[in-house]
Amino acid sequence: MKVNYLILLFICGSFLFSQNRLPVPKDYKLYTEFISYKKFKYLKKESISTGYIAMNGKDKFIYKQLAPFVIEIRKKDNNLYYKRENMNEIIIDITNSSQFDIAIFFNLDDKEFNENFVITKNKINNTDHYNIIPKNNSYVTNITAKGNDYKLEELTIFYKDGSFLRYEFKNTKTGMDIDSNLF
Amino acid sequence: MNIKFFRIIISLIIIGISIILIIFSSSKIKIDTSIDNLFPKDFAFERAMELSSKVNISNKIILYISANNKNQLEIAIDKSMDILNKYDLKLKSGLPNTNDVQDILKYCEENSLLLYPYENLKNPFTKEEIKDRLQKKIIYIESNPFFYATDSFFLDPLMMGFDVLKFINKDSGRYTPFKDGIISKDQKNYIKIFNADFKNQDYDKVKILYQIDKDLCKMANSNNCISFLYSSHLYFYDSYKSIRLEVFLIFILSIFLTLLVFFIFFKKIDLLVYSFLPIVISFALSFLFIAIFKKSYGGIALAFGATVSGIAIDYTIHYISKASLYKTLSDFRKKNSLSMFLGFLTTIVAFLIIYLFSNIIALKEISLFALISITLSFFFSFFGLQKFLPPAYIESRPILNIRVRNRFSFIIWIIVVLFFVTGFFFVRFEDKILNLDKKHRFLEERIKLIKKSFAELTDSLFIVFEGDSKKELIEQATNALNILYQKNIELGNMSQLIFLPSNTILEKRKIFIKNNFNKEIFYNELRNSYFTIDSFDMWLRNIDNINSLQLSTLPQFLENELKNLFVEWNNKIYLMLFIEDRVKLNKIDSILNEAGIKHFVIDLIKDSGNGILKFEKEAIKLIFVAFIIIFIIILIGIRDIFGAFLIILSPLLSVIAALSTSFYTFRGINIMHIAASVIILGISIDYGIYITLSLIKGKDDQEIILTNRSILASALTTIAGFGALILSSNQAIFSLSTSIISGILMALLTSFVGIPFIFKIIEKIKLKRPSR
Repeated sequence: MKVNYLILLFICGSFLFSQNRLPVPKDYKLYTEFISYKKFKYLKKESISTGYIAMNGKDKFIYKQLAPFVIEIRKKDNNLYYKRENMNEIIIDITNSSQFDIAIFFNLDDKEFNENFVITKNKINNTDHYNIIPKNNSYVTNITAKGNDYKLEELTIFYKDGSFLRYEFKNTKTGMDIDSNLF
Repeated sequence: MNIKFFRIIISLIIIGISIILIIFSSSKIKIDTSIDNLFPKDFAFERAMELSSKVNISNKIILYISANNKNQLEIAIDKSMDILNKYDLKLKSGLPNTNDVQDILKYCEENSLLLYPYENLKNPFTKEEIKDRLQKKIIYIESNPFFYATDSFFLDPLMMGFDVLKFINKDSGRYTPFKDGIISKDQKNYIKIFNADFKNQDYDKVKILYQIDKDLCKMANSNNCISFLYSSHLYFYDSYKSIRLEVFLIFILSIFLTLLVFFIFFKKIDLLVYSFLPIVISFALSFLFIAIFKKSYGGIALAFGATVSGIAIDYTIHYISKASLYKTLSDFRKKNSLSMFLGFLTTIVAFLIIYLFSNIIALKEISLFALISITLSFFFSFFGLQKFLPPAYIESRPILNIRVRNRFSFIIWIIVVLFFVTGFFFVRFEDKILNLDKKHRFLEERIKLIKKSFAELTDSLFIVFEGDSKKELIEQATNALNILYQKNIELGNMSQLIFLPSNTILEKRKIFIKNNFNKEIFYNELRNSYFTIDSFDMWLRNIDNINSLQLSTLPQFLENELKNLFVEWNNKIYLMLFIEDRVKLNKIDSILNEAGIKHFVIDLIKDSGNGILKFEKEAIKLIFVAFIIIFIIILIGIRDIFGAFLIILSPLLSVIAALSTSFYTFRGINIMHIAASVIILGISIDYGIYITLSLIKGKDDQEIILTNRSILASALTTIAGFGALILSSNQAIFSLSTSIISGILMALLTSFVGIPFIFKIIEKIKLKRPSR
């Protein structure tokens, strides 16, 4: 099960503090709904999925895709778990993974992050625009993101073959108590 | 006084030199603690032993960690790994890590056309299957929120690579990979499997492993969790450590008890010192012989050797007991040489029979040690001590007047005989070799703990194919796997071969693809799917060139695993497939036999059981032969058939007692009871000879008393010597000890009570006959 790294831009935003930083949910409390668009070269049309992301503190996190079918990626006890519909939950091993696996982000400290990524930030029309370039990646050219202090509005991963994956976030709430039923 | 002092000083110097020689020689001997030496060797069993020791699985080391919750477990794993990394042992992980799994998946995708088992699974090229599989491919993309397709993705449009992985282990997913190991369902237990590149008896490295295990246990204690290592290496090291200590302690205790019994009988320190000479010199030379010519020697044999003093001192006892009755050495020798030499010869014959006819290394080693040390002891006693200490020097100081020939003692003897004879009818033969090893309680508890959460079995069970080339073996094994799959046998670990199909299978699959794949149908379904029409061109090109299509290079992990399936031995190559449990092994064996697939099964415990039973039964027959040979030797020596029967009565009852001891100690007759019987045969015959000859020759009371005393002293020193073995943690040595003790006691009672009583009765009958 290969899960790419984008999700960690939410979870582990704190790793990106050193130079410029992506918006980090206030008090690490977040609820946001997403629509993701996968535009792959080999697919005739975009693959669209929807769901939500919720976070209550650094160690409580859920990424839940609701359509076209249910997928859950949750952080619990410092581990990541993946579950698809009624199948058994599996643990994503975060201690031994290849680059750009979700796991490597968990283990990155500021220094390691800077060794692997270059992040730049520009302000356009009162919105922060970020550009993150991996230093040693074979298939991701760059990642762009848009947002403000606590909220991320959009994030896109561009692949070398011209494909891209875009996330749009709506109804984002940060810094307030998150409904525990969401987890 | 001066001469006496000089003799003592010389003796002490010789004893000192001999002890230094023993310590020096024993430090040079590599002690072999494996139980392999207890197996009777035949070709099939030797092959099984060799192959299982060479196959990679025997070198697995399991790191087991258990904690109260997931968080604690993770901390314990990190701390355990820190301990492991601290030592320079460089253990390689035996499970695939995340990168290995990705490589394997990539290999399956890249080679999906050739790896897919068309012969066992559905035809993937029908219209419905193609439609369904393309849909699954889309679902796969949508199931992975951050999916990115690499080249291998496009070489497997029909998800056949995933079917290959599912086919390997239907039970996959039972355990979850975690931190390079696997974690149990309740997430409280973890194991990591390592491959060790050293053997069980590479004690320098195993010692480090043992130290790591100690550190892990210490860390676990202070962190309220469990962490330990489990491997066959630790079994060997545990036996190695205890056998070294036990040999040393048994040696000291045996010598001490033997000399103590001697001192109680003769009450003279100088006699004690002189009597010790033949024993200690013969021991020193025996150890030296082994150190020079053998280098490696069984721990069991050395533990036994440490107790031979109990037999070796007998010749000295007989001499010292009777020497005071004679003026000169030649007078003594005229009357006693025959009985002494017959006694020595019959003892040696017993060991010689074991040495020549046994095919068990431990018994050969035991008898070789006994042959050397007893022979040397006899000759040093006969030609050295007797001259060094002539009869004139020895004062007669009998402390016991032993004549137990009343009716009461006879009844006691009859009861003891009945006790052992009754037990003899209930004896059974031991067929489990592990019952002869030391009880490794802490390791047994560990394996129970591991099995609770992970069904990791430690039995060495294999289906084996024999051939001249790897190619030939892969053909045989692949055929076998296909048959097993059709019979619905879960292939589990065996199925690694699916990654390396034989040429015949590959050719058949290529023909299948040519006959069943229809490009038009595929394109039609592709057009109706989410994929662009050119998405899988690479794959289609492979189908166009199917005749020349080859498998790509195996991932490193698989290459190592597959390499480890092959073992070379005796100019043949063997392919060994590990089977997890015995029930499955038996099922597979009978299915392959029915299908006429050439193979054999390795089940060390079961194989050794058959060999052991066969050996034990043959050994009993050999003991019977030994009785006949010894009877003939006695008959030639004394030329009195009645006397010969009386003499043989003592060893006969003693051997029965030794064997029936197995029943009374809740064990089956094992090779050590048999070895003990042969030793008893050799020792007890001496008692029979000494007592019967003194009765037949009508020696005076003083001589009979001294004969009795010498027998009692010999018996007690032998019991003292072998009695020390009862403390051993090794089950084999315990069996040896208990049966020798009961055998000697029986021999003693028979010589003191049984033989004289029967002799008396028969003499009375003889006396009455002429009067009629």
